[in-house]
Amino acid sequence: MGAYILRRLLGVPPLIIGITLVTFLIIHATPGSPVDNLKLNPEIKAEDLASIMRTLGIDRPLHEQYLGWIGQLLQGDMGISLKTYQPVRDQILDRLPNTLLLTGASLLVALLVALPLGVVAAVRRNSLLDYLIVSGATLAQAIPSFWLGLMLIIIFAVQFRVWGLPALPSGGAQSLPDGGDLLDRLSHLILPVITLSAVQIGGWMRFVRSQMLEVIRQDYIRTARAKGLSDRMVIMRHAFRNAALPLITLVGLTLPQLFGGAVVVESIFGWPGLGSLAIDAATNRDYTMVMGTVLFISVVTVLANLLADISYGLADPRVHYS
Amino acid sequence: MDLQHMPTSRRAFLKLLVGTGGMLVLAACGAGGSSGSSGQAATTAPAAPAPTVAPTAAAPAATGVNAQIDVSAIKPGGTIITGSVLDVRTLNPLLVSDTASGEITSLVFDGLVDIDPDSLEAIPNLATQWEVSPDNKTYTFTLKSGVTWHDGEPFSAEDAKFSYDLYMNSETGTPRAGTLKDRIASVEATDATTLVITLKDVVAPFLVSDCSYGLIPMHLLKDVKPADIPTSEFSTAKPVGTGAFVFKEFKTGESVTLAANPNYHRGAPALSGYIRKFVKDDTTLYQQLKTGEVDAAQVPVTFYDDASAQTNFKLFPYDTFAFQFFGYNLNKEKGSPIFQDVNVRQALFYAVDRPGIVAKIREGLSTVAQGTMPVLSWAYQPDKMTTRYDYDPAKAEQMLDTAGWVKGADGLRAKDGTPLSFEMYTYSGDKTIEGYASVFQENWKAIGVTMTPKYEEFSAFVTRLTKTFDFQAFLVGFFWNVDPDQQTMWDTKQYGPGFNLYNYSNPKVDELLEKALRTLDKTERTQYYVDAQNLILADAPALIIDFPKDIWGVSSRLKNFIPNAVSYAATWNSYQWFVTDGK
Repeated sequence: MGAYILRRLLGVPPLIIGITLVTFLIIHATPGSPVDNLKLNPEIKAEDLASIMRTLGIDRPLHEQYLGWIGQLLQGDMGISLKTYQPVRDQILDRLPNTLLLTGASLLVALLVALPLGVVAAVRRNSLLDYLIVSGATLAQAIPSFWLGLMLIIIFAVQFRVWGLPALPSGGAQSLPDGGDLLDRLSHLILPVITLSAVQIGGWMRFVRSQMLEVIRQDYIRTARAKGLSDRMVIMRHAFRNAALPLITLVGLTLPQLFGGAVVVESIFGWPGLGSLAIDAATNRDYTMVMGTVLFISVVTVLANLLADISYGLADPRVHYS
Repeated sequence: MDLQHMPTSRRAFLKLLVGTGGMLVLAACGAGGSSGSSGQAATTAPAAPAPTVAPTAAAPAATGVNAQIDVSAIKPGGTIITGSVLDVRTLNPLLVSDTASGEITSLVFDGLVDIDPDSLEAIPNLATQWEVSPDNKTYTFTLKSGVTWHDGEPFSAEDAKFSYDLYMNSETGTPRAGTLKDRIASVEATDATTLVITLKDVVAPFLVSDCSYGLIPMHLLKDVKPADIPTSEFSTAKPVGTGAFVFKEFKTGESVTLAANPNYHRGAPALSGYIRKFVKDDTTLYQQLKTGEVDAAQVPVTFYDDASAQTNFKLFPYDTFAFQFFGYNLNKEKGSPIFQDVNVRQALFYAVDRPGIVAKIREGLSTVAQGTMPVLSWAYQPDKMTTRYDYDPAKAEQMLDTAGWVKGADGLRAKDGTPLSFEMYTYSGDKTIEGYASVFQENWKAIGVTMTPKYEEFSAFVTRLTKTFDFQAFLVGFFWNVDPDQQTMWDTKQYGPGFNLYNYSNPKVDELLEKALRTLDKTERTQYYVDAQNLILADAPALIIDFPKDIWGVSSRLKNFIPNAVSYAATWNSYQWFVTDGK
């Protein structure tokens, strides 16, 4: 196991280099530059543009820029944002807690909702309840996040206020100027978490249902029932635990997907996290910030996959790593 | 984005407009503002030749911004939140080139002068008065005494000199060095309250364009290497100015928080706090305006009808220096030969239903351009324009027939086998501009002309427009400056370095624009601009289509916040803003 983990970890640096190189090439192949807006400004002379590009370090040849970036990175420096001149690392660390809160809460909510519903749907297969749950799951998966988010805002933030009901905030992570207590933060979390977890709830619920259906047909379940165990015991102890095994991998693999979903959700709700940081960086052609966020999310993805593999091994004694 | 603007301070200039579609529109070109510097030019000084002019605030127009300000009911206390889809980049006015940052720096930093939003003239700020030498090249500013920086240190003319030296230093990464170095010969502080700026040549827009930049404290930055200023704490986290509001906190991509400056030199602000919130999506922002989560924000024209029905905020549509324009490529190698015929250029203008565009696409919130000058400018003289491109498809058809572009069996026009057909480039993602393009296409199709719109991603489009010049015709939105100097768009030498994107050249126009730039007398300048506009209209290298208004929604509890085109939305009188509920 130790050797396996080591081997996997050794594979990480080349992978990261590959990802950053491709990212670097893609963003530089994309039309535009961080100083585009200045190019349409008649007050700015060519020499000013040149001095600004020099200040930003984007006047150098591309290979120098990339190698310089890697060199800085090895010393723990992710460079300076081309938009705000602030250190990229500081901004990522600033935003990280917000994204972790949003994705963590969504993950939790998705699991808490998807697992029981999936199990119920499987146990009551082909009942009206099952149809309702499965249809709901399909719907949750099919609704685009940006649409769902806007609808939730219109109903719970705008219309509720119009109707004189207690309304939820339409965006941000806390109220300005002086919010930030627990209740305030929770109220800001509700709508984005619903939006972000909807897709996962749909997917996982269907997954749990089909896993359960498969497991329930197994011989050992029949044996368990034959022994006279209660239904509850059979389902929870014998069936669910086995059915849930692949879920570990799925959840691990979903982490990056949650980060991806957070990009959309954070933008709609003005949630100050990594996702909106990455989107802003891309629209502003803030190259160093794009590199920084992509690097960070790549590392998270690689580590999440690794963790999923390892924990799967821990949970299922039949799996051996060699 | 954005786009940015320059001046530090106040009035910004180039701003990004939020298009209707919710996307960005472009930046502006010259636009506006200026905060500082850039632009605004108002006319300058005193019309009288003389020296010493004490600047007086211009008389407010009847419906002007000044007339809407009422200081008798001011209530102290309270915090307002403004919202914007544009994010703040820097806190240092030296580096500002975007509207969002300009809004903040114009509240935290004051400049020598402000621009009156009604008269577009310079009015006193840190300079209480100024004299212009008889040769119109030396400006002697008398600065207010007793002004302190937010950290308590006294402000003096040395700070002003230090600031201008930085603004003229390219190493700092300031976007204004090129223009200022071209214009300014020397800046001297002759005593604690006297600043003397000597120009290389007469520059009519100097006072309005280059004198409202935020001034920067020497005691905090004198030991910072100019090249390190952009990344310094002063620029990213702890700015210190003399403005109405003191900086508190900057959360990138989230908000900027300011607090009232109790020692403000024009009197402590009524509000106790100000927050500028960044909201990425303009639909979300509009919802927040409706719910009262933000007190003021720009409203896209697409929401205008819904917004008109709201009672908890008031709409302020106002004229701006922005405009949409369509231009031909007159370069013989890069452009289409069909546009070498002035009849074709003019006929296409006559065929465009501009009143229809204003009514349908702009909800009536725009003005059809006559000439090239914005409606707000004193150089706007629609009645003196000898060529008016009023919508007249019959005239267009007749002009084309006469010029030999006759209709074939398919109803499309051609001359000597060359079809009257071309491509027009514009950028994608902006519903408003797409609306313009489709009206053009339809209007021209009706007279037998084929135009194919080409939509391109914004950055690529900018490169095509300003660098490769690889297009036959284009459609784009820009901003003018407060000053009517339009050399950058029509002067022969500005093909390449400037915004003469069409390769237009008329030596008479060049001469008139140069004379106007070097003349301070407004009446004389106006005449030069009228003559130049008439030549440009007749030559028809490009058509300014219309001057759309911007719309802001302002909470009914927030008073004296009068959005206008000159100060980043409304920052010029921020010390007079107040909220009726004191919260």
